[in-house]
Amino acid sequence: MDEKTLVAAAQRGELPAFNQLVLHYQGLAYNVAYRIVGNADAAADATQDAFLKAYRALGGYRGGSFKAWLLRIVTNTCYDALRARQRRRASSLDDLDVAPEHAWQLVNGHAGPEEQALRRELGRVIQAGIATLPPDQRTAVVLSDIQGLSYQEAAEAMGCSLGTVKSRLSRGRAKLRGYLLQQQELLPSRYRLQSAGHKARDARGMR
Amino acid sequence: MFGRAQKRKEKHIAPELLSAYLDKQVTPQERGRVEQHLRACAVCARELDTLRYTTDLLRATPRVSVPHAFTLSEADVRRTAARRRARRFSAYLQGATAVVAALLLVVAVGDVLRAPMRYEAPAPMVAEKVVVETVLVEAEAVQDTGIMAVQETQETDRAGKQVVEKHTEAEMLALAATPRDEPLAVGGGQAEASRPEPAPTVVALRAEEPPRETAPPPEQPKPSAPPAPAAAEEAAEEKEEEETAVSLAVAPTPAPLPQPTLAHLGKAARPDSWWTLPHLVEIALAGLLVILLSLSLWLRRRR
Repeated sequence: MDEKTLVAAAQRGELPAFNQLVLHYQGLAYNVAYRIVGNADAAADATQDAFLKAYRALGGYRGGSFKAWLLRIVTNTCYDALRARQRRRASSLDDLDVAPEHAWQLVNGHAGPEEQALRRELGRVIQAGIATLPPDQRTAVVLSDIQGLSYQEAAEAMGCSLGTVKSRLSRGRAKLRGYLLQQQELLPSRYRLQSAGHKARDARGMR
Repeated sequence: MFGRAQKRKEKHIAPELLSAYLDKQVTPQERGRVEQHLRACAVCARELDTLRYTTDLLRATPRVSVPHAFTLSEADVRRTAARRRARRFSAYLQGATAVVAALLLVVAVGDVLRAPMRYEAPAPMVAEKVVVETVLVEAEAVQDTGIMAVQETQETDRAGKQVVEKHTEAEMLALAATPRDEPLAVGGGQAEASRPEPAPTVVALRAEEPPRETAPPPEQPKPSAPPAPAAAEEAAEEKEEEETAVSLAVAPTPAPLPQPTLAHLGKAARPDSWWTLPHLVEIALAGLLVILLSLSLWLRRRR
């Protein structure tokens, strides 16, 4: 059954059809939520809430990219979670430190233990860098650079124009570049920039 | 300095354009301009390199596995539907509470704005006060006129009645300077001090009269010893003259002036006047507000 048929069936209230859509998109939704909120438990809660909201809001879906429509609900739910966490004055970096191990289980099981450890380290540094961005730039970077969405899909998912996506992405990347160039020693050697110190000075000089 | 900065800005590629160029999200013209610039500018070329390095790392970020399936059960959906109904009911409840609170505010403000007219300065009291003052002023003016007329009569009829004239003048002064409550008694007292022998009879007579009596009885009992016939005749005439003057002075005064304070305070404090429609509406709205707020709190605690 293709996506349109499943969506139509779900709109008629058929829960199994909607659950098939959930199974198809839950990896994407959870990864987006995880990168935006930076915490495994909060990401799981946000993902579950987002699917419930999506099921309730299916009547309002009027075609277009279902993935972008769903991701918009996911990102909005993540913003709610971030605001709730700000109210609780919790630090996302602290949350990262106490993140359960299962969150760092990589999807690609073919990699060996050493490769997995290296990528886990990379993921930790990048997550710390993403946490320094404001939510709108964070979402743009996560959707476009990490999840590989096109500008058009990212614009639909964020509910903004293409120009806004370009602008948020450019500013988010620039900040992340500065962070990654400063944190070169935390990265595994294979992910470091060649002659990073020199290039970092150049990058700072340009800004 | 500004010119140099402007030149530098024009010289290098804008970060947003470079970022879009990296994603191949530029027009052919933009791409041509960027590539031409990159061939000549090492700074922009290095910036592009570091930007590409950043995006490469981001694309290499590992995907994490989901902790569990996020599929929904019928129970989830029912619970969600119930929660949605509760939330909708809560929204209606909040709206109703806000409306009732606003109504209560409007009624209470209206009641408070109306209150000074009802309690602080009752309308009848103000009117009576004005009447009392007006009457006093008029009475004094009329009394002046009346006494002058009496003086003229006295001059033409009896030139020897200087004592009476003095008494009348004294009484006029006393009336002018005396509060309305006891004008005659005080005036009589002053006149008594300056009056010759028959005067006490008249003064005593006047002191017994009620203050606002317009037409004194023709025959008044005389408490003092009867004077000599000549003196009695003079006293009778004098009494007539004084009574004329007093009646002229008092005549415009309306019959019994109500004492303002006690009567009206008693009237304002009467319990039946408090149970007016605005107060009943206020009580009803306040009760409704309490019920709605209690219901909201109970629902919130239950949730």
